[in-house]
Parts: sequence; structure tokens; C-alpha cells
Amino acid sequence: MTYGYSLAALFLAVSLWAQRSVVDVTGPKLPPREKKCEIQFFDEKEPDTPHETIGHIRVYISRDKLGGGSATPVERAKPEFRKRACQMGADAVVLIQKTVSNSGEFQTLYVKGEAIHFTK
Amino acid sequence: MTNYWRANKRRATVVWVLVVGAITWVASPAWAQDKAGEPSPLPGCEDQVRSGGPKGKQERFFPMPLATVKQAAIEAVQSLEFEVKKNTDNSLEARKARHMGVFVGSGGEKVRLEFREAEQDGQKGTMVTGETKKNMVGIAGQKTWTSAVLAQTNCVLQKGAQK
Repeated sequence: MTYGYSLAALFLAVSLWAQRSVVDVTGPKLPPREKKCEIQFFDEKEPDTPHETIGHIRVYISRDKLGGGSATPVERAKPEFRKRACQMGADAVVLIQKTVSNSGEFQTLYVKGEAIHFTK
Repeated sequence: MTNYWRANKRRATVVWVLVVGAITWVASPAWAQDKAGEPSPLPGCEDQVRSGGPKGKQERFFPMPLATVKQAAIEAVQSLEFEVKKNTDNSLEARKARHMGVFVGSGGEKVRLEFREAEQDGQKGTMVTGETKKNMVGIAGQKTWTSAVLAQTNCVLQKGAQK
């Protein structure tokens, strides 16, 4: 019985929140940095520092609105961006697009970022 | 025995109230939204993209070259959690990611877009014809996405034009 309840709770937790990301490498392939490396974030505007674009990262965070709570803030996507950017060897991420879409009981936050590497 | 039936009846009423409440909540956008802490939308875009709109084929003219419009359409479908499955010179086919929900879940819809060079009011551009196809698995939670995809394509193009 306890096993059944645990399984149901796990299913509910998984179905209420889901996160996934997709990476498109478009620039030079760089060695990965350490797992929890420092990543700078820029909102829409690219930094003035000379840099090259390594690729794009797309993060999707879906929540079941039946679970309650408020809409997903962009901040919630940043750990996933940080993880993917470190794997790509990037120094920073420029957040270029944000979209919130609704379908039935689900709301999805989509954030697209450009992974960049400082050349100086 | 009477107590047993009374308890069962009470339990059934509670479940019924919970189910009706949950369905009403999902169906009513005003209840489901909490605008605090949401990201700002793209210029020229809706605050939140919603599925729905007319069924069947829809057409929309964009005063831009075909390649630009097609690239914007790819970004639009990706932003609505569709994955591009087929990509030819003049068409796109994308499928929406599935979500297992407490009630009906969502996803699995297929959007097909066709592009052709066209002229409207003396202006050259691209005509896009779109259609949403639903499938048997999870049809209860599937929606029409054609209007949302065309609107999102428009706002991606507007953002590009502002750069």
C-alpha cells in the first residue's frame, strides 16, 4: 500500500513539473568547463566584450496548473542554462527569447539563449 | 448500513466537487493565470500564447522573403514546444511534445505549414498555409495550434525587423 502511495506521489510530482533543454552547437567546439562554472547572463543585449557565439540553448519548463502556484519565472530556467553552457565551454548566455504558452492544464515557459565565449 | 451509504455519498460529493472545480479552473484562463513574475513578451506578441481558434486550413501573408518566413516559423514552432519532424524547401511539419496530466494531459498535435511566394496589394512576400492535425492518442487534451503558430511567426519576424 505504501509502495502504491509512493508511486502515485512520484507520478504526480513528475506530471506537475517537467523540464527539458535542447542544445544546437553552431560555432567552435570548446572543451567543457567544470560542472558548476560561473556563467554570466545578459538580457536580450549582447555584451560589448569581444565574443563568439558557440550555439543556442532552448529550455522548456512545463507545469500543471492544477498543482497551483504562480507562473514560472525565467530565473527558474537559469540553472539549466548554466549546466548546458558549462558543458559547451561557454562564458555567458544572452537570453534572447521568452514565450509562455498555455494548453489545457499545462503552461510552458520557453526561454532561448545564445551561448557565447569571450575571445579576449 | 445507513451510515456506510451516507459516508459513501459524502465521499462521492467531495470527489465530484473537486473534479468540477479543477475542470473549471483549467477552462477559465483568468483563474489559471498569475501574471506576477512572468517574463515580458516579445515586441508585437501576445502576453501569453494560447491554443485554439478556427479549425481547418488557415492562410496568412507575410511581406518577407520565403526563407526568412520559414526560419521564423521554425523558431515559432520551437517556442511552442513543437519539434520539427519534416523540413522541405516549401513545407514544415512539427509535432508538439506530450505531457501526462492529472486529467487529460496535452500534446501530440501535428502542425503542417506550406510556404509559397505570393504578392498582395502589390507587395511581394510569402503566403503560409497552416493546419493542425490531431491524433487518436490523447485527443481529449489536443488543441488547434495553427492561429498561435502564425501569430508567433509574425512576432518573431517583427523582432527580426526591429534589430
